[in-house]
Amino acid sequence: MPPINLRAIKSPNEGSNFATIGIGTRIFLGGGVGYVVWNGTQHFPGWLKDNEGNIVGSAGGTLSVMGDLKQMKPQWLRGTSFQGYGATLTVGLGIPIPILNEEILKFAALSDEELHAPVVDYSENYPNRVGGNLGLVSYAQLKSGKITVEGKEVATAPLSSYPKAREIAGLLKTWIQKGDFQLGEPVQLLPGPSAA
Amino acid sequence: MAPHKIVLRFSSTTSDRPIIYHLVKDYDLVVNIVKAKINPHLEGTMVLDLDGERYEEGIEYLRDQGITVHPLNQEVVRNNDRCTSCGACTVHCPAGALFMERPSMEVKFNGDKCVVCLHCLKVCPLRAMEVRI
Ligand code: SF4
Ligand code: SF4
Repeated sequence: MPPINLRAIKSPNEGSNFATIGIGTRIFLGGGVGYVVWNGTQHFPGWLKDNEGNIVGSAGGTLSVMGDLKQMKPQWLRGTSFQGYGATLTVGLGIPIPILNEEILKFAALSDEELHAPVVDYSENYPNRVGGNLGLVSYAQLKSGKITVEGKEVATAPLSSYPKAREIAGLLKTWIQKGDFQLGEPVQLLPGPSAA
Repeated sequence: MAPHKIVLRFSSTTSDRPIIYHLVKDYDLVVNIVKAKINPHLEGTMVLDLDGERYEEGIEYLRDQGITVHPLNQEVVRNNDRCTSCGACTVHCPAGALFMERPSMEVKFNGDKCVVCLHCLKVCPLRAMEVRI
């Protein structure tokens, strides 16, 4: 199957985010088994569009999740402190996405070149409530270690961990293969693009 | 030969002595102070470039004074169990000692390149970077 270009999706009703994630979705959480409770705060389930109005990705959904602390492991639940931001937690989280149909496969198979993120100015614009962003970049550009913003080269870092994400995906896969972790149908899917 | 990069640690009883003066005057050494700091307990740390024919004698003099001397690359270490390869340090490390390997996206630490600027200690959200004394 050829890779699908998200730019080709013109209608927001075509394709839907959160086709499999909802209340009760079983997940990997902090080294144990947890569940999706609902969306989190600042859940933007709509589409991210470029200047011409083409859809280039999803805007950014968030989750609220629940788990049993006694199952969790320190390795996947770490106290963290961001300079200038404060104390928070770094949590290992993995969500299985069952490939139920071609469309889900199409979205799950998107490459780094086809996934985009907005560049947000958190030093000036954001605290002063100036809307908009400084452009869009692909994950492939972000992973290269530098992007160009308004003609200037800027260094990039993921902050979330790619190697750890791969490790979690591998663990979740073995749990599922062993039959220890069952996929279920959520009681209700999360709010999708139509709620945006 | 390139100058030796070393770190000196002073206790509160040794930090008030004019040791640099003696290194230059008595041992004819070329000194470049990269960094120097004295904490509220009057304990001091100094990062030095030190060069000259009588380098070994100079080091012996420092040790006789009760000052601990370490090569620079022994100072900052990474607790690998804590590091998640988040990459935050890679954009701040001025020496390229902390860098992202691609395509694995694993963060590697090369202690030989480290200049002990200590930026990574503040930047690392997981507090994986440590100073070994
Ligand atoms: S102390 Fe400075 S040079 Fe050494 S690894 Fe940390 S940031 Fe890099
Ligand atoms: S900032 Fe800390 S946790 Fe992140 S890659 Fe660097 S050493 Fe590892």
